[in-house]
Amino acid sequence: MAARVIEVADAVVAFLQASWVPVAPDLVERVYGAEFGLTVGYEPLLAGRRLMVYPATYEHPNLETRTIYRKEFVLKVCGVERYTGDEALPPKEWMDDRVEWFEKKVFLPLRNQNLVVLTSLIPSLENPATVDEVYDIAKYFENKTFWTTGTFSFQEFT
Amino acid sequence: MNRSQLGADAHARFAKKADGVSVVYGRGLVTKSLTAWIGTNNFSRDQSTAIVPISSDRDYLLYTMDLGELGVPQRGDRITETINGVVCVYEATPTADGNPCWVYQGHSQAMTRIYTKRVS
Repeated sequence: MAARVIEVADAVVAFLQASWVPVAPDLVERVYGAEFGLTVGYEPLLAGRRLMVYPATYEHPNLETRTIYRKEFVLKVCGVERYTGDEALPPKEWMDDRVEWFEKKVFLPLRNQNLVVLTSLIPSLENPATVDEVYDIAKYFENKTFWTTGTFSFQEFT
Repeated sequence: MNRSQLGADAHARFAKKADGVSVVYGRGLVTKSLTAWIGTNNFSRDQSTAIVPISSDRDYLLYTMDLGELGVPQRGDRITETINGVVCVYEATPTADGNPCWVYQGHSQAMTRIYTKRVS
């Protein structure tokens, strides 16, 4: 039986696959670490739009009541896409589309308080979801890449 | 041009002949065939999180005067070079530390170093 934080991450991956429905080469996956090229010449070269989910932290159970404990699991979700057009920088409209996609397909669904990821596991009330970076400015300038990361906390009462 | 600059100029021309490669420098529809000198050529990686992007970096040294009417390099300028029979296109890109995509090489400014990443 996998660690609970891994089960949580896998459940989030399954949820995102169902809500986003990526078409190859687009992909959503759980990773421990991922390496890929952002420029031609390094394989594997990033193709399509990719969501990567990885566990960040989890807390020891906190006493919620005399009989109920609360666990908290924190995941990172990273969304990346390489611009392959001819412009010197990704156009504003292209970036706008990716920012909107992450908000609508990842952020809002995962922060929905009605979401039940696994039995008794819901988005955290104390630590609501955050987008750490709407876009990584260094990767925008250097690699012409959309790169965003969000932090999502989930609570489980046992 | 003083003697020091003339010396640097001669050195630059010698270096170009000694190690230069033929490239096509392009900006939009304007292209120029010229000789470049390869500087560093490596992969850079950003291992600040679990997700590690890697990019291929290549510096070109050009004789500044060869750029002619194009003036100084600009982001998005493209250098096409055939390497081992493969046509490779590199694009002028600012550096990871935030510097522009080019810098004069040496006090005489006879050479220009252009930082690029491969795009095709």
